[in-house]
Amino acid sequence: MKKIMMVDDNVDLTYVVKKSLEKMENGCEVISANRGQECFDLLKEGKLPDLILLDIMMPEMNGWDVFAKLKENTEWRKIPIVFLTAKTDSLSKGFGQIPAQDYIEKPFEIADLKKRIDTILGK
Amino acid sequence: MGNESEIVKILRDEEKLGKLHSKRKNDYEEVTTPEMSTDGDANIIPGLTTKDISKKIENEELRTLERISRLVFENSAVAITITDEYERIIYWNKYAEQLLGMNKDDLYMKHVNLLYPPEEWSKIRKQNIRRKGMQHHLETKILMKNNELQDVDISLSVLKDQKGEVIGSIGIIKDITERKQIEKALKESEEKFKQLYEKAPIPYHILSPHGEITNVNEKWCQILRYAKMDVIGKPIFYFISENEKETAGSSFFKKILAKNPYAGGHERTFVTKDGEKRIFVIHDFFSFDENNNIKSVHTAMEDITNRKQMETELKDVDEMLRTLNKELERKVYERTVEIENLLKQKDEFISQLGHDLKTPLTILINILPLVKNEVEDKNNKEDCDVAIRNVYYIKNLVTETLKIAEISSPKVTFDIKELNLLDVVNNVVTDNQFILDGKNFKIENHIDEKIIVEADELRLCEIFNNIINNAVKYSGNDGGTITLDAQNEKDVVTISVRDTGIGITKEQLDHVFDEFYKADESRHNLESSGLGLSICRRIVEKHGGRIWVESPGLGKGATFYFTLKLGNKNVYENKW
Repeated sequence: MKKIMMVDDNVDLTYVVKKSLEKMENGCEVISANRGQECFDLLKEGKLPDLILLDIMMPEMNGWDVFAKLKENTEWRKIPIVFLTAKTDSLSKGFGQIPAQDYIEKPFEIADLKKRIDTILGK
Repeated sequence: MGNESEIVKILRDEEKLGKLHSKRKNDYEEVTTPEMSTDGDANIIPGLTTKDISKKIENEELRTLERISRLVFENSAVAITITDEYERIIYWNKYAEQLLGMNKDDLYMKHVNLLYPPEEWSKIRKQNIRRKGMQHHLETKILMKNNELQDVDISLSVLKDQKGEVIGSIGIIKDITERKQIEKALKESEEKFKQLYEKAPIPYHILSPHGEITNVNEKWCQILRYAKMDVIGKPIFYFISENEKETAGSSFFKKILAKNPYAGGHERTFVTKDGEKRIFVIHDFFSFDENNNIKSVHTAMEDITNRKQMETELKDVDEMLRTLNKELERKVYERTVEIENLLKQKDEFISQLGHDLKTPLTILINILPLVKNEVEDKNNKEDCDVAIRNVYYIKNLVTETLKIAEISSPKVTFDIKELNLLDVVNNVVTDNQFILDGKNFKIENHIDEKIIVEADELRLCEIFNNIINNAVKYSGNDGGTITLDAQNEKDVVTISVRDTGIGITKEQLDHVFDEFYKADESRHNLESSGLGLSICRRIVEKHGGRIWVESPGLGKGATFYFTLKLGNKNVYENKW
């Protein structure tokens, strides 16, 4: 089972995404982190996911900060990232040449999200 | 006739001229010395003494003289009257009768005063001519027989005897009516001119060549508030405003020297007696004497003070209006900025609200199907469906509202490219094929494969999506046909999408592109946000095009039209 880490300060959203993805046929295991810092704590504990779903608007450390910090680490930088965003216009300038980056715009349906994940990770 | 004078006696005794002649002869003898004049001729005629001969010659000469005098007297074109020492008329010539319109009965032995109107006679009397005893000229009036007055010039000579006693007088009367008439006419015209000058409605002054005032008219006095007597003889420069005095003086003497008044008028400021400044336009002309020297300078003045004042006031008003206008413009600008800020705030508010709604909507959209799966009860499952439908409605509303906000934002630019119209339409039809088939809709596509348009591809797809979905939504359950076509004229392509749906009433035509407009307010349609056509309008307008709809009426379908710029014109034109 593929392991997904979802970094989002909205606990309701992480709850429903986790529940939906885990219940789905061919589903995935979801680890949730409610702050940017929690994401790094989990990573340091050795819980390396196959993909990170990363919210942009977060208190303390926003999605871009987390993204930048992930790219600094040789091990973490290989993990594909899918941004979860409400605003699309600020995204295009953030990507650069790093591969396997994607985003999904809220409000999204789990089915669509699952398609993206499958595309990146391969079935 | 005891009181008859000596001269009358002589005249009565002999033929008129004869008597006069002898009287003359006597006078002559007394005043001349015949001896001296005839001395050299004493022996010319024998048998006659020198005195006899000379007397004879004298007599003959006198006779000739007499004749000549008589002719002159009788035929003279002046009237001649002779009076005795009592001032009675005793002799006159033909012309006198003619002039006076009188005959012998009217004149003979009548006192000469009958010839004059009383006031003229008393004037003559005052001259004391007889006592002074000299020749006298005077202009007077005589009274003719018909009681009319006649202007005459009279030359009076007093006649005296040897002792120096006055024995009468000769009056030579000349008719000067014509001269008087000319004089009168001249005087009248002079008077008229004087009146014109004096009463002219503009100030007028006459100057000597040295710039001294010789005359001013009433208007001049009235405007400058001086009495005539106070200004005559003063230099005109005295009345000119301090700051113009010098230039006025130099320009005055310059034009005097050049003998050339200024062609057009020029402005000059005068000061009234009260110290008020008045502005005039001055028009000069010169009057010359026979030696072509300037005799006087005549100046007509046009008072333009009020006009100038009005001009100044107008300028002030103009200035005031400009200031006001600027102030207004500033206020409008401020308000505009204010409104723009408010609109920006509104957009930001909508945008913020929309974005804030996105996360909870994501949660609801995804949790409700989970719940539906977990509940066993059929009724509960239906409740879940109601919740899901409404959540999706909110989701659409939020998405479309944010789309409108985005399209309207000046920050958002469209990615305009040259697109093959038919390709775009085919893609849209393919994407919607499932819905179209499900609702039993047929597509008829007449769009020319060669038409290229300039548009943002995603936005253009959105227009077609909205219009096609709209057609499907507003049709009966029996399906229908959607006909697509495009016509290009010059550099504009007009695209049409015709449906066979429920149609649009005349009243609705104007509003279908308004935000949140729904033809039937009471119909609760969860599939429509009411923003689809509004989004289309904003997209088309942002492309610089136009969108409209035509419908023959309810139940008769509708045709949506919109225009886009024709792309790749050269290629297109070459192909044709």
